[in-house]
Amino acid sequence: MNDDYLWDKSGRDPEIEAIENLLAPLAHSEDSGPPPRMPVSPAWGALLAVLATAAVVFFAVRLAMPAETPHRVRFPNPVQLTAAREIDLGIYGSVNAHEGAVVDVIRQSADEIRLRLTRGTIDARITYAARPRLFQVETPSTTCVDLGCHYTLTVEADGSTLVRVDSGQVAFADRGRETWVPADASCRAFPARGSGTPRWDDTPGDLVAAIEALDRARPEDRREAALAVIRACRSGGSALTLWHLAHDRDPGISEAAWPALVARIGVPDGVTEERAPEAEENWKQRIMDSAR
Amino acid sequence: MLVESLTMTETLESAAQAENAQIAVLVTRAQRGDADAFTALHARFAKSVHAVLLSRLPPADADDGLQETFVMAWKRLESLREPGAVGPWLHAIARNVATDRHRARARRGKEEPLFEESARVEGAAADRGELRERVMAHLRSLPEAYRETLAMRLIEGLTGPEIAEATGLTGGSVRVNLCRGMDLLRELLKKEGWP
Repeated sequence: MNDDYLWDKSGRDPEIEAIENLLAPLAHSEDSGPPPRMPVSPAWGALLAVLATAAVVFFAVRLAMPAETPHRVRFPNPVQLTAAREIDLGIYGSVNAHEGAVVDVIRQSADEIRLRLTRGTIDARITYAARPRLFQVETPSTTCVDLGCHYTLTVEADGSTLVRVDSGQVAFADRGRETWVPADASCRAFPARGSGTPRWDDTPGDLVAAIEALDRARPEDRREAALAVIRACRSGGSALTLWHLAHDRDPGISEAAWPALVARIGVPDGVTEERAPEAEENWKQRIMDSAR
Repeated sequence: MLVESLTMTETLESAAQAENAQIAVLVTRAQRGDADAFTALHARFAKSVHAVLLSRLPPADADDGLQETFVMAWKRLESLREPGAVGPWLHAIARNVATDRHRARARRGKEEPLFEESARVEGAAADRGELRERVMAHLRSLPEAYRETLAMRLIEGLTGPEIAEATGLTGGSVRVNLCRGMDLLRELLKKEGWP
């Protein structure tokens, strides 16, 4: 939390700004008119008439206000940007598309905002006002689903996608699975193969190399590459990466990853069945705590 | 550096003193029946008074309560002994107005929903209405000092120094209220699964 922003609005705090945006419609409105003029000896009939008029005007203005829907972005689809451009999502935040990005707004309604990023980079700043999953970005290798956060998404020339999450969390959704990527972590996704392995941004170089080898490994080499990652994690590695591998479809990988994860961060309080779906949030919290 | 800090502090203090003196003049003029002066007081304090009401009442009631507070203040203005304390005095009236409205509601024998409007909207607007309702419910559950200060900051957009000026609290107290209140609010929201 940015105490300075809370105190005098200096700097920025996206979380507080999101709450401010959400609550802003409740604020006292100057449009509701100044207070009735108070005569020295109040003439209550006239005063009530003024109050009634002010109330009628106030409610008429409120009724005439449009429903809160995201601002509609109008540009031809798809478009390659020749300069950086901000896509204003109104109360839901904004997307800063970098120069050269090929971006396409494919759906924009009150229920869903969906972009397609074919190439280049966007920075998404999504506020609390947007419910999780309202904002999604399709790329050639995955769909990046916002769970309430700020992140940078880049699509390389080969169609691979890299997400770096600054705050909150996102999920890569592809091939019937979701890959969780929390704040201070990044993850790649690859065309035809989908999501790779998430890792913290400060992951040591040898582990990064092992993760990249795993993400690019041929199917027949995958298990060995994953076991190499797990071994690398034992020497002070990433619980986030182990969590991901503990959910691998290959039992030979997940069975090796679970004990390594438990050895790394222990079992969260209150969790008796490690793999129970309801324990998932406890695990995620423990993993995020382990990174601090 | 120390000299610069002292100079800055002195500047802020003298600005606050000038502001207080200006408000005291407005109060004195309003006590003599100057409606324009009272309108100026309304402009200065409407937001903080509205926040006090919103931290206790649903929005529609808070809007009505705001008018009621200032009508009551106008009627009782002569009883205000310290013109410089008009902010806290208005806030105290607003708290009484809110209490009276709660009692009236109880006498009517039914507890009306806090946010009637949100039930009439659909789609994303309804989602936001519900979300707003939940945040406000959590905010209202906070201790009084925190919820009023946070309502002034998060809803009405007043800064910490402006809140200190309106409430008569020290800047340090306001800052503590804001930070602790925000921590508590954040914890409550987090329990609901907010990121």
